[in-house]
Amino acid sequence: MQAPGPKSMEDKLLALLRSESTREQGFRLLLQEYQERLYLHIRRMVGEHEDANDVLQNCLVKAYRNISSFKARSALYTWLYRIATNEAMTFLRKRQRYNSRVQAGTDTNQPPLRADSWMDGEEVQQRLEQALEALPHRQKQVFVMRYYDELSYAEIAAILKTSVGGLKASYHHAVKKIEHYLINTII
Amino acid sequence: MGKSKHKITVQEELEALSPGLAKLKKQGTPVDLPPGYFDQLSDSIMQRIAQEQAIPKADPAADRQPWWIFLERFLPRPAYAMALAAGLVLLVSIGILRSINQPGSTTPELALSDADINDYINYHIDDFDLGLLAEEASDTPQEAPLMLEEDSLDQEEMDAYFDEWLDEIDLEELL
Repeated sequence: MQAPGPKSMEDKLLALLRSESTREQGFRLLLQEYQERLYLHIRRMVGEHEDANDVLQNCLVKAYRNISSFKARSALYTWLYRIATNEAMTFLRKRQRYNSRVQAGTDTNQPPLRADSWMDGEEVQQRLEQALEALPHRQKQVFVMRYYDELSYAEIAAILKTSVGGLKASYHHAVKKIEHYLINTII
Repeated sequence: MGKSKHKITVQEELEALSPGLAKLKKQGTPVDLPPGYFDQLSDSIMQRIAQEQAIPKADPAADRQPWWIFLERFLPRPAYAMALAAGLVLLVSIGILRSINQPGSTTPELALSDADINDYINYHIDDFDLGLLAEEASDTPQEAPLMLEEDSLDQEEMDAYFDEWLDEIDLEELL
């Protein structure tokens, strides 16, 4: 996975983070560099801003606590991205358990979209988010990483510790399900 | 891998899979955010970290019993722990064996004299199966007889006993 900043920026960050006296300064710089991308990744996974904010804060606090054990075997951003993905997945599993207790099934009682709004407009984006929400966690995870974050299959496989073939199948299924959902919710 | 080349690959793949979604992707995905969210985020995170660090961590050793602290020393050394356990089992076994094999180790409650036993039997004689007792006595003639010692009763006592029984018998019931 590509780090957003140049390599020298990562080296500078690591140097600051490894020393206790400059750790806070380094962490603020790290947030400045990566917070937006991490937020967008989490937001696409969990949907709502409030949830994304909670998950991002948990992710960053965890990263701060464990920064001294970071061995730089991967890029710093990859490490953060992995923590963010895990935190988002943990959140989704908890939410699924809660939702299954509160109500059975997914809420699909949304009014259908008008035909002329297909492929444009804010409503279609909302429907895309709804379709994403209805996907199984793994397919959702792969779709977000591929569609939004544009990671290669090899990068996704390294993060999720799975095979490229399985990922391609998951992405394919996710795309087809979303397409089906969008078409069926439009008159 | 170059970003632009990779981007084209993702887009091309999507166009082959779903042209509609590929078109949607080109439009971008706007995300609504509270104003100034990213400006305040770092302060918010650092504040939370400072709060968590300020909370003193509870000492888990504070609530432990001294005997458990002693035993805990053995946990990282499985060989010592096994030796300690084997030693304890051996001590307990020796204690049990000694108590069993000790001469005269019967409990004081069971150490009854013959007189006590006889008193008990005489008092509860109605509870015993006399036939069974007679049979037992005939099998063991050398032991002290448990049967009634008829010779020891004098004639007057026997007459009084029978008179008492005769008074209690309802003659009408016998007819």
